[in-house]
Amino acid sequence: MEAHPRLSIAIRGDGKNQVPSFPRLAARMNDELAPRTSGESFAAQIVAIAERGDRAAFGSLFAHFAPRVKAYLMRLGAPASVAEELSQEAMLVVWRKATYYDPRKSQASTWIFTIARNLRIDALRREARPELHPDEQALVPTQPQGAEESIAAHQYAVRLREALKTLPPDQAEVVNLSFFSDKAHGDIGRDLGIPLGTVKSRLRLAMNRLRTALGDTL
Amino acid sequence: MTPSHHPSAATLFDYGSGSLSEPLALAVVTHISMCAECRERLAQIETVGGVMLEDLEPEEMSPDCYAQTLARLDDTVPIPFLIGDVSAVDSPFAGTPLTPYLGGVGELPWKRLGRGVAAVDLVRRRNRGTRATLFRVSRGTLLPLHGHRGREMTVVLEGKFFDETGAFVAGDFIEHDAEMVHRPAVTSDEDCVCLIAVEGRLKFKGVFGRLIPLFVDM
Ligand SMILES: [Zn+2]
Repeated sequence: MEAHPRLSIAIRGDGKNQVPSFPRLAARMNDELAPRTSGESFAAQIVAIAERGDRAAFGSLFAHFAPRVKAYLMRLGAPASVAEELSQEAMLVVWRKATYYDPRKSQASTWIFTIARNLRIDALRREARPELHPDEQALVPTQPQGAEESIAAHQYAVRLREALKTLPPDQAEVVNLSFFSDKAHGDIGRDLGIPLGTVKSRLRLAMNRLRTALGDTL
Repeated sequence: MTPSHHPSAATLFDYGSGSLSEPLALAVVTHISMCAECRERLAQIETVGGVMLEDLEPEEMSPDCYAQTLARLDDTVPIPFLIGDVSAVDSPFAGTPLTPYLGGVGELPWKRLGRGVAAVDLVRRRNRGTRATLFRVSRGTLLPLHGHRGREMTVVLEGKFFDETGAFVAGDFIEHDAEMVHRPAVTSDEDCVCLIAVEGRLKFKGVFGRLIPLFVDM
């Protein structure tokens, strides 16, 4: 199996002692492999929809993501019935816009997150979502040749997930509220009773930490 | 030309999580469309969103939910991936995220506000009095000293301007919190076009206070 060479090396080693001497490394690889494999297959399923209207692929994306999109919308205050309806809507957008998905650029979960986010703004807040359009690539004079780009999309998400776990609780809290409270950082600060500057610096530190974690992987 | 003034991490989190009102979101994405670096930072934040979506406890879906969605696939036409012909749109900001807000082709409906200043309102939201306005300021114009009751975001689209905090060129993003009082000026060599999104009303001070009605009644 192509996805497992590094894992098998770690397990095989060249003697019995080898495995226990790298328990953290082996655990990390296991950690990496699980989400990586499913992330890759979700990406492949979106591509299958784009290429041949694959309904089985749609079915497995639906089974995995619709209940999570529903949960996301409920966390942001939507009643269950509305959240369910919008999660169906989100999956229909996945079906319709599958040709726009680029597996080299983003993880399936990232792409579906942006769809759910935009639908929520549209339906619950009744606002349009100003967005980048694929055409706008032309506006950026030079494509970023950032270090991050050399990491495949799924790998990138795996690293980010790991890095998120290492955020100090005060940073993790504001990152969480940023996604699940429908509030901009100023209001988040007011809710938590902390000064604006503190919220800003926590989010800045969180972002630096995530960037550093991604940089370390090179 | 690479912008050297960018949104704060906190503001990018606000945009990426979908918690900015439409006018402010328009300012942020307009900068992003001109800035490879922030495009990368946004991708990171959206990946965090995807990871958080993945990690949510799935909500139960009603039993016929998937069947309903499948039934709707038949009347859901996939959108083929097309790169639009931006050059066909005859507008100075065609192909930017501003395009849908410019109201069609041709000369923009500039409204004169006072000496050297003309403006076009792009979007207004009653909620918190947020709005995004395109300002065209003639070369050599000194704007009235003013403060803000909410957030203000400025993106330079053409030309340059400066205030007490620095000098800004096309692509630059400048954000001020409520406390800021400043007095922008445009250099004498060329006109400056900016997108300015504000939350809350502007407060004018000093001898230029008499210009208040011109701005407030827009
Ligand atoms: Zn930037």
